[in-house]
Amino acid sequence: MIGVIVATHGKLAQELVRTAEGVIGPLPQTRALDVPFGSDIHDVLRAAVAQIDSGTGVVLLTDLLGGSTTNVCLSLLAERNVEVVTGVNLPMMLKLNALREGSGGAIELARALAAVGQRSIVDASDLMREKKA
Amino acid sequence: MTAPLLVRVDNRLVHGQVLEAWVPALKISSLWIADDEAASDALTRMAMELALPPRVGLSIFSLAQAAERLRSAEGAPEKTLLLLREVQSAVALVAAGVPIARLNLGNVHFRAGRKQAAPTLYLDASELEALEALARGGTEIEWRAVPADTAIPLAALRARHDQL
Repeated sequence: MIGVIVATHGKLAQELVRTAEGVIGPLPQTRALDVPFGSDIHDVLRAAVAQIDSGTGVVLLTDLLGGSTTNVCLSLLAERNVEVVTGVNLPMMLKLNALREGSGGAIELARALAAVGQRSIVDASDLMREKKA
Repeated sequence: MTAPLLVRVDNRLVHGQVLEAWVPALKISSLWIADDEAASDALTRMAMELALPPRVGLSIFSLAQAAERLRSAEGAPEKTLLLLREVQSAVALVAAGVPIARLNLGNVHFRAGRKQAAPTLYLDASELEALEALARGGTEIEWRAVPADTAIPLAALRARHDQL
């Protein structure tokens, strides 16, 4: 199975995994990596990837494009089979298991997760108004 | 010659605090990195270019190249924020003939020998002494991770560091 690491600032990663597991049950081969402000996570991240990769690659879900966590994740592209997707949100987390049951690789999973995340953000009140009209 | 508006020491170089807080607060239109490691790493350059706001340019130089550009008549573009990875890089720039009026200390991570001087700032004894030498030479030095932080001046950083 493709591994997943959620890596974010603060305690967001831990809470995203915990909340998603509360909704759909255990997320196998998934790890939350909280990055305290003011710490260097390069070695921690490299070790986490090595630990969770069962040979089919790892998708790294990060919070902010341009953020330090994302930058460190991107620096692993040259040395490991990883894909990096930014803007992680709960709808993406809830699709992790279902999308990993398919036979695709890490690249396919990353693209599917990005699409899920993007589709999940809407102005819901606008949609209600359109429905009414 | 135009000097950078602000020089910042940040182990993370371009990241969220820089892009989301400093760039809008100072209306920065040009980000410069002076760092030998970043200058020789294409992946770092590409990663940092991914997230640039519109109309903000990014140039990555080695320390020597940056010093040469800053000493030249051309200088840096208007509204440049110059990012350095380490305190020693600021010392090297000044030694190379580039005066630094204001030095912001942002993120310097813990490593063996360093003690905490501010929430996101760990310094060893030689780094503190180097900063004090820069201050004697006329550089104004403060810690602030983001513009909204209350600045901690160098003397207070020394006091906090020595308390631990």
